Amino acid sequence: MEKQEGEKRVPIVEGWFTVKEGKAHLIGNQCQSCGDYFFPTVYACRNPGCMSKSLKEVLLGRIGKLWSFTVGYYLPPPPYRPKGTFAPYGLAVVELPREKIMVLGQVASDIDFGKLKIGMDMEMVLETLQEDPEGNEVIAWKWRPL
Amino acid sequence: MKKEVAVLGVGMHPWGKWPEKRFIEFGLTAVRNALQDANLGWEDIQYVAAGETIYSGMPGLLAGCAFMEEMGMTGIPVMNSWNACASGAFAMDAARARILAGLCDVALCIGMDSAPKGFFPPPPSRDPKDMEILRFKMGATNPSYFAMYAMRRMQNYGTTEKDLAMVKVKNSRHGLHNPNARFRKEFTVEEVLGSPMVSSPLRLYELCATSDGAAAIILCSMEYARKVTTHPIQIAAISTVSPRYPDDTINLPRISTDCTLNRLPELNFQRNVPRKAYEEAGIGPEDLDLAEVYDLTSAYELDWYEYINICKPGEAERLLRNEDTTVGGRIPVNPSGGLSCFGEAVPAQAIAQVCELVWQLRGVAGQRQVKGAQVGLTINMGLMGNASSVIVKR
Repeated sequence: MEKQEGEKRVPIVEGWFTVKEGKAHLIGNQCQSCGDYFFPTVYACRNPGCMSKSLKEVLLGRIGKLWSFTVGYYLPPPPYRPKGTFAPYGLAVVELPREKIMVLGQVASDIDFGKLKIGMDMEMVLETLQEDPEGNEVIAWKWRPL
Repeated sequence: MKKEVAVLGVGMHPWGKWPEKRFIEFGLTAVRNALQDANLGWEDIQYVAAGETIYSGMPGLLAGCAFMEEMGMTGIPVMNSWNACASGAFAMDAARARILAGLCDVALCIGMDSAPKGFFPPPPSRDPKDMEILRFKMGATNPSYFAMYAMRRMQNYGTTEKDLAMVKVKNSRHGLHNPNARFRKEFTVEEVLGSPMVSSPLRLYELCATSDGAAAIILCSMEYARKVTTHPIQIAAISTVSPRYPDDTINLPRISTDCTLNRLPELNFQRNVPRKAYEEAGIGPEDLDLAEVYDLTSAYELDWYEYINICKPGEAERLLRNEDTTVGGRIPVNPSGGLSCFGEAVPAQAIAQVCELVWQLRGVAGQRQVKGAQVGLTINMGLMGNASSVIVKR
């Protein structure tokens, strides 16, 4: 279906990810005092033993290990708004090896969920998550087996 | 300083689904039952601590005040608390603090709810970075998180689908004998494994439903209790903890964990909450006769066996298979039938667990009675890792 004029692709949250050299990255920040990473970005370091206000924006690693996953077979309540008819969807939690944080996201929609295995390498991609009430395509990060 | 308070009375409204009824109606029944149980009049209550419900507009957010209006206003202080599933425990904590501070002798704690059917939806929000909204946009419902914990458990310890089904079977056998339970039917492993997959690996009958219902408890000072009874049942501990940075659990509603690059978590909140309760009561897991734990899912019940330290990590399945946690076994868990048979009436559930312990310790739990029960522990967990544990002894 052709997009109507005025309808566009919008990020799920402004400033949470970017594309660099054709590859998608989440945007986090790192404390310049204690070295801890954060995603989403924080106002000040959340380590109670640090609390520094000196933070630097960083692009997070885009490949990590699958910590766990699930497949949802029932339609969640709003604001979940699947594009088109509802189909089972995958969710994954992936651990980023450099930052040592885990990030939750959907599994890329073209993946056979039967192939998912805890511990496998996953990469981050950008994909349509839903259609907002104005008809815009909402883009979010998703996880895809490497 | 002595930290015990006594339980004078408990009461419940059976749990179920009555969409045409107000949450307050359930509360009226529960409180009248508790007053009768305590042999007190309404005007004897000096303080009210209520768990809030977020699904009934302003009256729900001011649940205690809305309840007072209906029950009969007596001018006493009313505290409303929202800590998700741990709301009732925080209400008991506030009432206990009042009593121990000598500010009152007799306090009522109440939780009552009228819950939406199906998945709990997120409350409306003006916060553009509200994780609760964001996770639902991704379809990360409550069962999704618990399913991912369950998947890890299966990977780490070899938990089978049959083990998960057996938790439901056990709890259904307990709940069968509980007049306040919503689901009073004995399930077989085949029936559970035949129920639809909701969030793999968890099936419909391995997840808890959303329920309407209420629970109430009347607490008092030990001095007051000794005037009316010779063997008061005591609240020996109320532990309320929150997570400590860095938290490496992907807690609802978070979409990421803290960084563990430079320091590892010392003790996660699931282990910390019973530890604090044991410490406060001056007992250990070996002293427990029974426990009511937060069985939001079958797999999560198994995790709690380990967190409350009635077995080592990875041994929960063995306990279950040996029927150690069945009524009649070494350490019965969820003799009430648990959330599995009740469903969640969010602000009531932490109080309902204590009601069950009180009935068990009095020896009046009928066919689900744990013989000779003297000490019991409860576990509940609010969103964002706001957890609670109560120890009751006689």
